[in-house]
Amino acid sequence: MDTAYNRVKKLMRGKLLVWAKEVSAGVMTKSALSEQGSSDAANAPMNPQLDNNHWLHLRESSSITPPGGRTGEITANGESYLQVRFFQRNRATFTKNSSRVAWLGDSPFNADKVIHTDNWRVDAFPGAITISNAPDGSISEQPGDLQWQTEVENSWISQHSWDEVTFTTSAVLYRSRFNVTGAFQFGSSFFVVTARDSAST
Amino acid sequence: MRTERTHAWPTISAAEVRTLLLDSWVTDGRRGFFVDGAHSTANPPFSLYDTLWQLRLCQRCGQGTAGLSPASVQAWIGGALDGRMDSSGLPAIAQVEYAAQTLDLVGAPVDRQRVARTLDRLRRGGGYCTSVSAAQPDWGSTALAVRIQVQLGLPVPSQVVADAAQSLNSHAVAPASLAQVISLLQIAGELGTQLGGAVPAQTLAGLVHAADRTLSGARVDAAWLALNASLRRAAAQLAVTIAPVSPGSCTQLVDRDGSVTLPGQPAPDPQATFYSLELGCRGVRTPPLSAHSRAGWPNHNAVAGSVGASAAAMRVAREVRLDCLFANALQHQTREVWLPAMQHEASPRTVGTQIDQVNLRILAALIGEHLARDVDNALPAPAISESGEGTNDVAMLLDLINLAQSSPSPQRLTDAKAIVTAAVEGRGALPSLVCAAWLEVASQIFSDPNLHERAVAEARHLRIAPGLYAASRSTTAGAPDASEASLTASTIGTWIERPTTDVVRRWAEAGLCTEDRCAETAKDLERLDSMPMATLATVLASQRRAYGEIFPIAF
Repeated sequence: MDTAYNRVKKLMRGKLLVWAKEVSAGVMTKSALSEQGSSDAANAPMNPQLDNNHWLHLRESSSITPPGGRTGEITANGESYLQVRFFQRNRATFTKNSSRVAWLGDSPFNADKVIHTDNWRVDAFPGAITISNAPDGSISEQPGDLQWQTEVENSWISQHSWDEVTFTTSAVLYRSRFNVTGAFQFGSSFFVVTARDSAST
Repeated sequence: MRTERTHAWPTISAAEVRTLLLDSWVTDGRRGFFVDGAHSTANPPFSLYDTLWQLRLCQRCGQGTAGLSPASVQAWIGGALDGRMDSSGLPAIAQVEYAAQTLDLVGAPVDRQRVARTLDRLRRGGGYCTSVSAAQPDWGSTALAVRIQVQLGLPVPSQVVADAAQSLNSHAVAPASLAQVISLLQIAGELGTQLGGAVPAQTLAGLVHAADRTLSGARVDAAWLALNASLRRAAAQLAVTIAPVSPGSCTQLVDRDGSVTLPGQPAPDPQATFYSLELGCRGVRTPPLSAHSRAGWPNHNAVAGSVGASAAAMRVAREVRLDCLFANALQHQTREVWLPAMQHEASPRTVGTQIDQVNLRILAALIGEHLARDVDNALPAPAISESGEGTNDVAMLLDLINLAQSSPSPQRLTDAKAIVTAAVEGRGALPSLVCAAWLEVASQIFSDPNLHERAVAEARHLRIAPGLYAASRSTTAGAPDASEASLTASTIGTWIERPTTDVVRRWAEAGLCTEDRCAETAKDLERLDSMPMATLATVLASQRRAYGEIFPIAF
């Protein structure tokens, strides 16, 4: 049951960071984001004897300054540490979820709106899938699928951070996916980009 | 409101099955594959964004509607008319506008009242919001709303007209407000005479020229393309003449192949390419048509699941004698795309990679002996894992199905039998239908009636009623009840035990099926608005009581 206590706990454990340009000026700049490489996440310990853990890296926009020297405009990226115990492949936990979508152009400097969607998805055989620790406001439209969408006005970046989402089944979860989509509004036009990664377990 | 339909069972006509197959069939003319959920409005396999912009490219370049069928598009796009297709990544206002435009482009009627209701939910006074949760309205969303209202002949609220006129009369163009000004000009262009002279023509012309000057000094990027194209369309509607964009000014955005790709994206962006064509950027060309179905362009999740969907769909196609229509393109897809990808990703060996391989073997066997042999040669069935532990029942099942569909040497069979025998002896007390499944597959591979008896015994522990089973139990005490019923387990149990009962009717009585679909559990049935191809294949074969054909279909 989603009691008031649980809701408060959830809000405290997970946090949604949406950075407007003014707020983030001292924290992250467009050039800093464009130069951002892989995080130290890739060096985290993994024990192949006991687990099927994977870092999921969503780096669709890693080459945001393409040949020809034109400035990169739009980016969606993120990471999540997927934990699947070798002998408990009925549970997949996406931990340390972090994603960001950003408009990196400068005319205009900000998009009118940044709509940011995280999508976690798992495949199982056989059986039903339950989801726990989902972010407030997220929705599940089909078994094993969870969408978390937020939007921010007059900004160039939106960032999501969520400690963990867990998918559980009575059977075996064999594939896990994490997708991040950014839709950027300029007047009456919207551009959409998606970054993806998945792991077989 | 949902009505109680627990005792209705699927009655899907051959015509409905053919329609679903054709709507699910994605092809580029040479290769092809199926996607699941082509008639789902909650989570369709098609991309709203790609479908609209690819269609607009086709229309611009004289390719018509690229073979899209109005009814096929209508079958999935309804959720966007309600602004409830979050899987598109687009906010509600863009969903409505994209859906209305897409339907218009393919010549399908748009449900005006449905659109009006959605727009009403998004309206705040004299403006519209991107979504119901947005803090305040904005002119970009309002421009979209007005465009839809004009397109559909819906009334534009007088407060919207008045607020837009007031804003146009008081607006000055600054770089920071450029998008707003262009949106207001779009509203004025759409409203035309409805503005009733509330904004002098020279004011509108002045704003158009000021916006054009501001844009001409801005850096060229995707937003520049969109704003320029929007401004020029609005100017044309307002009969204000501005110079065309210089072809060389945006040529740096055009790739070597003549399309425009957003940074980091794996394929050209159809919207940016469309705007580049409209603006006449030097070097831009119409990209070749990418793979799509008659219902739309697939999204990434649908493509990722297409091997399993295709294996199951070919079983469905056989039921209605349409399989020959798809076999050749699926063969090309298998040889040119899936097989090389699976050879590349063959290790590490995981349940996921095993499932991909099993699905491809099942598909290849349905297409023909030559392809099945080539797949077997390219992806030799791996040695069977030596483990009978709990969740590894799935790995054992997949290994054995792989073995059953390959041409193993006598030594491989001997080794496999030894591992199976050890796994049978090491079985725990808790029953599992997946274990029953691998016992049955093993009994067929080794022609061993004892293994079949073990499979039947295992299944009986989980039988709720003839044809109805639970997947597993955490206790050996008592029998499972109907609330534990699982469609996958019931499929496997029926395949092993071959009851004389009408199992689809039994599944419906247990709440797993209704008139047009079945789901893994009764709870899932409430949430799903379509059924996967694998479930449809199971239902169709079960309705013929061909219980020997219902497993394995695809994973």
